[in-house]
Amino acid sequence: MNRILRAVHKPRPSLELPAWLSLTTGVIVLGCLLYAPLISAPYANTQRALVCVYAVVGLGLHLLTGMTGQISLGHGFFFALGAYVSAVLAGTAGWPYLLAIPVAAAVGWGVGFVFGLPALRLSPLSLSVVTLALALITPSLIKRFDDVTHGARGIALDIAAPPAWTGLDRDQWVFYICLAVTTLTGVMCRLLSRGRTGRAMRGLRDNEAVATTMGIRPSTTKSFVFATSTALAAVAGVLYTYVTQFVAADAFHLTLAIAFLTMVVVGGLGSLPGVILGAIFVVYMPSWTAEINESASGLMYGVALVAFMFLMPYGVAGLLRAVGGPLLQRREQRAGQQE
Amino acid sequence: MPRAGHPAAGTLKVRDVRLRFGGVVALDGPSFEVAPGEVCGLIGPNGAGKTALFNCVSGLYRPDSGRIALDGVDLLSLRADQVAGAGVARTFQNLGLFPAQSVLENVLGGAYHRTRAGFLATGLGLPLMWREERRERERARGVLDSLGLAHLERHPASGLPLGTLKRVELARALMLRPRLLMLDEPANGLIIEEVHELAEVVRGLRTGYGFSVLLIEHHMGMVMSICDHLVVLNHGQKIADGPPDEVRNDPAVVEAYLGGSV
Amino acid sequence: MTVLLQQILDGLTAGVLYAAIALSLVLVYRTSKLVNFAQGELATFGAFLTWQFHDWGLPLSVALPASVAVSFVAGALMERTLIRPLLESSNHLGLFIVCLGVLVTLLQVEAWIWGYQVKEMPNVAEGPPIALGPTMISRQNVVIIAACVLIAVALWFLFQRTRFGLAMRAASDNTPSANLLGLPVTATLTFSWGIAAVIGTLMASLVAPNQFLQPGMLLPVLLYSVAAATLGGLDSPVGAIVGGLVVGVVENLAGTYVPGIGQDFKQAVAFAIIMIVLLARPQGLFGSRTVVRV
Repeated sequence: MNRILRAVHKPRPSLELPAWLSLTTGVIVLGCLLYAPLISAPYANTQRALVCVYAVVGLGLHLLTGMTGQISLGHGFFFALGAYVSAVLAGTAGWPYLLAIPVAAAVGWGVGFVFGLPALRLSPLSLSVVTLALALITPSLIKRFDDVTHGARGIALDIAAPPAWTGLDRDQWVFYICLAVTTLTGVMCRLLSRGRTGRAMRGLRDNEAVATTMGIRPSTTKSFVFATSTALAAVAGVLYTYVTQFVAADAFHLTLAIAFLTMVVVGGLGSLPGVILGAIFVVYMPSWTAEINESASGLMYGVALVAFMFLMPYGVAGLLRAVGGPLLQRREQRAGQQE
Repeated sequence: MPRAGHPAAGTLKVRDVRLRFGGVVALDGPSFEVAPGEVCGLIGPNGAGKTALFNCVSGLYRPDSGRIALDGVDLLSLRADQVAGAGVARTFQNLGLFPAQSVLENVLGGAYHRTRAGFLATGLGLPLMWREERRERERARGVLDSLGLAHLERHPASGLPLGTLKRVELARALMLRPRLLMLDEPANGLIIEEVHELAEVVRGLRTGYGFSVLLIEHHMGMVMSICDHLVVLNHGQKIADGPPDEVRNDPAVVEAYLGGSV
Repeated sequence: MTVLLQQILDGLTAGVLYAAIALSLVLVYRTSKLVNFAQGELATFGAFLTWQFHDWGLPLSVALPASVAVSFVAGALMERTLIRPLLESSNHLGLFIVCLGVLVTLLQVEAWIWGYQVKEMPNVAEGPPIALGPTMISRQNVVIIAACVLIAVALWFLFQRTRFGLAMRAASDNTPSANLLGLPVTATLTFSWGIAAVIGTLMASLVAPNQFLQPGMLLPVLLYSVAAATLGGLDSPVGAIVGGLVVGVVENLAGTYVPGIGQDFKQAVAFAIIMIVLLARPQGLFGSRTVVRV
């Protein structure tokens, strides 16, 4: 038991699967995801779409917390920002609903950048305080701008109707949109977290002074990462309105911020596939536990946060790395011997 | 003989640098010069202000007064992240490596200021990013190879012997193509064979790449074998400056080392 | 004029609660260098315990000390089991996440056991409000203010006049040398978490009749208390009290007199205070500046 705990407690580089394996897995998973909605109940598709919504937020947090080591509880605010951009533009003003995505991304990026400029100069402790404060005031902020947001009553929407030529139902169409956005975002985050920018982020996370001496400017890099992650949260907010067709102030309580954090922690800080696992956990766990008690899902979030920090600080992805790493190494050694 | 495409070795001028932390004087106005291509040893008892001086050159500390210039460029007018671009690379006393990343990734970190692909180019996967990435990977492999580390490129930086890690950190510093390389106690914690090996490596690199070296070291064997010039600090002040043989016999230095000042 | 005075008095009364929770935040911060976001929820949990003991038929004079005692143990246990291991490996991200995890867990456990129905908590002091010049103050609020003064005096005595307080101060300044001096540093860490929980439970039980006792009762207060502690300086007990009172008054006056803020939006004032203080004077009014060394 102790050996297992030790193995999971070590930070590990991500697994480098052989190209054929990642390719086949990717193709099979994508194939299933494309086909499944056609034969599933609307409820199932809605849940899958929600997984995508959370995953897009999670990808942003992966860059910010996992890669750069900056804490934010305030992403619920930017999620809400995106949701209201969509509700107001596509719902109230009647713009084409897909246009809400780039607009929300731009707004989320800009507001995040402006918020991050001062906030990221703070110590990690202060940043956590400020973003917690932002999470706590988000619902009252929304209620304050009642004339636009309709506060707690909310805005009911009728957007993201499937084009007639597809012959799809709304739940299917929305899922495909969410899947497409998630895939694109995932590719973008993967690029960002590898190459030069990825090294800058990890450098700042692991040792800011050292990173600085290599020419990385902490303030700029952090601001860009923060703005990118808030832009993604805003995009996720738009997708959220496609899925739920309704926004109201009470959806953006501290609970939402906690759900985001739980997702990143459960999946594994610093792991991109972990984000998807975390999103699955956060979306499906409440429906599994709902039968026990309505507080059970929230309780699971809390317990998961504490338990994972102690038992699996690198989340499910860390566990996979601990198990998969040695396996891959053995395979490679065998291959090496055969040559 | 400098390699093609590599900048020439730099001249570091330190003038009257003063630095205080609250009431503690860390640096009390030392001045010295590192000539192009020379290996200058910076020695002195613990707490003499050697690492503080490194941090001033790197821009991590802001001295209260004084001048630090590399080839006439005022380093103190630069932000800490711009110092690398001015031609300064360094290693750290307690290793500044990123343990969870592979050796190759660590070394590639040193290519940061020589590449330009930002968030947009990287996030969208523009050709610029791929081109730079390929180029720098190749260069990093070359550097690793020259230090005998090629076989370790995919190994995580944690879990390697200290001597190897020091060389990885050195490789990363070389990736910056410095005109001044600052090494903070490179021999610390190494066994005697490794120290000799390291001295050999530094000497070889200096002739190969053609940079100046500023070296903090307690290991006198290493200092005497590779330094062209020694600067001795004590209590933040310079107490000696000259060729190693001269400095070794300087009475002030002997006193500082033998604890006369304690 | 009367309205203004009444607003200031109300602000001070609210501020007393912020000050008390801020004090417990400061206590924990001084010894463990972290902001325990679960502090408010620990206090709410304590108030629920008081209510539960009372509901089982115990008089308030027994129920309150009983829940205070339980909170002390709970706070100390949290430090020992959850915080200490992460503190020793200086895993700051982990500490932050664990504190939030405890916050959520407590919130949901409260909801599970007691539900969202508001619980009727009896007042300690009944009777008509007391007139202070042109303003009025309820008897319960007098008790709350008295309790806060008592806490402040007791803490001052503990810090300044006992060997334990010396150890506590030493622990917050420099742990290694305090260890060398043979002061019981680890014990003080645990002890200060216990004390912080006690303060919270006591105050939460007293304000519960006014605040609607339900899960998350003190979440809004947490925001104001964090603002108070930030304003006063995270490591300054005096700062926490001054900060709490200032935040209480400012928030109340802004809600009444500044157009566009109103009662719902007062929380934004706390947010603004946090942001401005952290940027302009990160150490707060009374806090000590920490020297960052590379």
